[in-house]
Amino acid sequence: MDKGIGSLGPTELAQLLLIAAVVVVLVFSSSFVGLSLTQSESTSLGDGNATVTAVSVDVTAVQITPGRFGTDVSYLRIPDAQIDIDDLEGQPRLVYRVEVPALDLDLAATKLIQNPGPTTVRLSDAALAADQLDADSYEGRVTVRVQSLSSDYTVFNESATIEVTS
Amino acid sequence: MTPPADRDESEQTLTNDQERPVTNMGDDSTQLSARLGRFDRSLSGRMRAARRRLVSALFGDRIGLTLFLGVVLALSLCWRVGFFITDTYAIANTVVNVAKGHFNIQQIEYSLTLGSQPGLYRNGSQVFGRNYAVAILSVPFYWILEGASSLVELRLALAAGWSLLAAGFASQLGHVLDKRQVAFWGTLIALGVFVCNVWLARPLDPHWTALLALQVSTVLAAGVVAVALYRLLGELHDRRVGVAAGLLSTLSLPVAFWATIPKRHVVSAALIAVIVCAFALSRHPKRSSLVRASAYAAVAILAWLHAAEALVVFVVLVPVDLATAPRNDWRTLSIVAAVFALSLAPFVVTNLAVTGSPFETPRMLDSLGSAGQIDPNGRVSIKPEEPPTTPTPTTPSEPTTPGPTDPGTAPPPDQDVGPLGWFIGLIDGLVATGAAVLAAVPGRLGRLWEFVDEGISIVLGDPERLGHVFFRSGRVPGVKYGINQQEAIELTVLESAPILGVLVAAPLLWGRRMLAATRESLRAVPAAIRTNPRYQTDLLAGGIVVMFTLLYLPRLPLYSQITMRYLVPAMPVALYGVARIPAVRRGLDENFQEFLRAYAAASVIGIVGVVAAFDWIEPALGEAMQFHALLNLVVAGLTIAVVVVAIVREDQKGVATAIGAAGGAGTTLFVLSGVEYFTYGQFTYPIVRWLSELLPVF
Repeated sequence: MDKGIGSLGPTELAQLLLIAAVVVVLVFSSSFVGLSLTQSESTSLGDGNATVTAVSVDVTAVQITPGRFGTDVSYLRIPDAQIDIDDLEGQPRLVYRVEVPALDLDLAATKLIQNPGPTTVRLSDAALAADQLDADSYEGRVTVRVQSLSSDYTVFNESATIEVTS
Repeated sequence: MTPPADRDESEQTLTNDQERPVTNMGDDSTQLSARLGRFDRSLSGRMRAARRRLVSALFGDRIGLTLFLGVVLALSLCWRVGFFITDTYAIANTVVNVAKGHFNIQQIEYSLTLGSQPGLYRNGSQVFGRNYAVAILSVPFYWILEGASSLVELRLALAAGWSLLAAGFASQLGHVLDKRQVAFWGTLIALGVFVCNVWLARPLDPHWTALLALQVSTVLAAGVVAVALYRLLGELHDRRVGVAAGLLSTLSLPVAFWATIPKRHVVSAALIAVIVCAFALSRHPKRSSLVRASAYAAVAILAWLHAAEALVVFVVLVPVDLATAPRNDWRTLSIVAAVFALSLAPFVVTNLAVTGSPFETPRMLDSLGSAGQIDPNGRVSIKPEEPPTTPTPTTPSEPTTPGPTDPGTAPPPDQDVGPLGWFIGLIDGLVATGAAVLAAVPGRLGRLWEFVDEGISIVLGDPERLGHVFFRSGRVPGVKYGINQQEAIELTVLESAPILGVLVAAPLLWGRRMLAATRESLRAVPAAIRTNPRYQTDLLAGGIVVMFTLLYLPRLPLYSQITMRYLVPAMPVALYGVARIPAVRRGLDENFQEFLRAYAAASVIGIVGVVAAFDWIEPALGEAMQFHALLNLVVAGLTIAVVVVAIVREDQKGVATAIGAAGGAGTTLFVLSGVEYFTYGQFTYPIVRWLSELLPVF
């Protein structure tokens, strides 16, 4: 009944290959075979620790400046934190935090440490409506911590005087 | 470009249906075998014919099918599993409960916090959802996904689905372009994407199936928008104009943004596009009355989805349809009326089940507000002491066809009476229903007119507000930005859909025609409208866009709109208007290749350029959105200029390129907001997650 695979054109072969790949993957991942083809281990916080050799945050760049492109608000501008990781065990994470108590702001970004080496943690700028600002400068604090389920220590802690430009 | 050829006739199936009798068999078996072969051939021929008829009925032709697949595949790349907008919680919970066979919400599967959520309503001691149309339409996908997740890893099943669809798309595109290599390489790419997705896959919790089902139905609805626009303009002009409009309507309008969110505006957009398309097709005297009736069926489904939107479309459709239909004999009209009445069944049944009155929608019930409580197992109950009051403030309320002053009619009570009593009860119920309709309709139309009237007074008396809806946003006075951390992410119509700016050239066109008009040509106008389906469809499309805008204008500008989402359902119809401008459609028709090139180039250059620019400017979210807003305004301005010059010089040079570029600017915004700006949940496809992590914007 069948002329065999030899008679098929390249497109039909590619289609067969795709269908075969789909069937194989789905069968192997199904509850009948139960092979786990998805990786979940490195995505959540666990025990562990990391040695940080250098942290660089340009604290003077933490400023409040006017929003651009017609946003008509001011932004607390927060630079990226550059962190060098030397030793890594388990699944710790970095916590980059900027607090400005007078503005009721406590912003934090976390990043799981996947590999040793340099890494960047980004923290989004925070928009402030005009009526929230009543001073020329605010006191703030910038911290970077290494955190895991079994440890938590601070590797960077500096106060910042945040200038308001209008 | 060679005109896209429809090659249905010459298509070949993969399986070889030539029968080869096995040798050395008796006469009987040879005969049997031959007979079986004939049967096989006729079966496969019939299958092919059936498939062709199905494709022709649903998509128009193979190009429509290809467009549908392409749009669905492209939009689903931005698919995220998670809740972007709080309204979606209640709808996804409605899917779970409807799938279990009851209208009332007994079980909350998804919840932001313990307590109530916006979009839940109460009727007596029962809790109901806001929108049953989208929920019920999503139930089949819910079952499929539930079945898949019980057998295989859900993430891999979704990745397999995408790649199989992509291979199907490649095969269809190969046929359309008559290039076998397209099918081959497309299939290999689909295979590559599948391998990458499996390689990068992380598990996906099967509890997301109801949300995923909702997203599947809204993405498919976006595909319907593209097909409807394609068929509409293919019918009135040329298939190339149709393909361009189909692509632009979904990839360059905010339909792209909301398709995977998922929001019902995309489903409204699909139904309204179907209404206009069915109307245009049914202007042809040889077409079946069922085509005309399908416009009304779509109105009925729209009523199920959102009654006020359906009413406003209905009010425009009925007079235009009756005035321009090729036939208005009693037979045609009774077919249309019967189909309409039948299609209203889901609307009426849902209302009866939820509110107890056939024309009172779930939205008209009291909001559950803070009266609801959810126990740790997700079971819902109503706190007895709380009065049904304040709606939760996180969702902007939309105009609803407001409740009638009379309480409406409840279904006849279930009593054990004889057949005569039952019959009397039935008649009684029918009469009461009819009376309720007659009583309710003038009230509803009256309230609708109040909205429209308010909209008209805004148009006439408040140009600043109009500017904040259509032209420039920035930080709009009166909009609650606190909800989105003060970020100016609410864009106007023109800022989120620059291509629609070309509509401002229409008055110029009319002006020129008026100036050139002689008394005879003016006298010929009514006759032209009576005989030309294009003008008739223009009338309907214009009416729908205007009335729809007026309906929502009293609510706008508003927070949580991002792209003026209340107006999104009318945007594809407005795009039809753009494509009807002679300079635009001639440009798209004659320089289709230029249009495609410009669109692809503008999208790629836009995405790469904006990412590069942002690396340098380091914008906050609001600044990024306003950057796009200004960029899109500039692009819209340039496109309008090109089209106006083309109209004045009566030469459509450059128009196709300009239209493509404006489309690309819209696509840039939606790709980057889908992949980078609005981060919530997790990407459905691992490969997109990986790509998104490479982009250094936020």
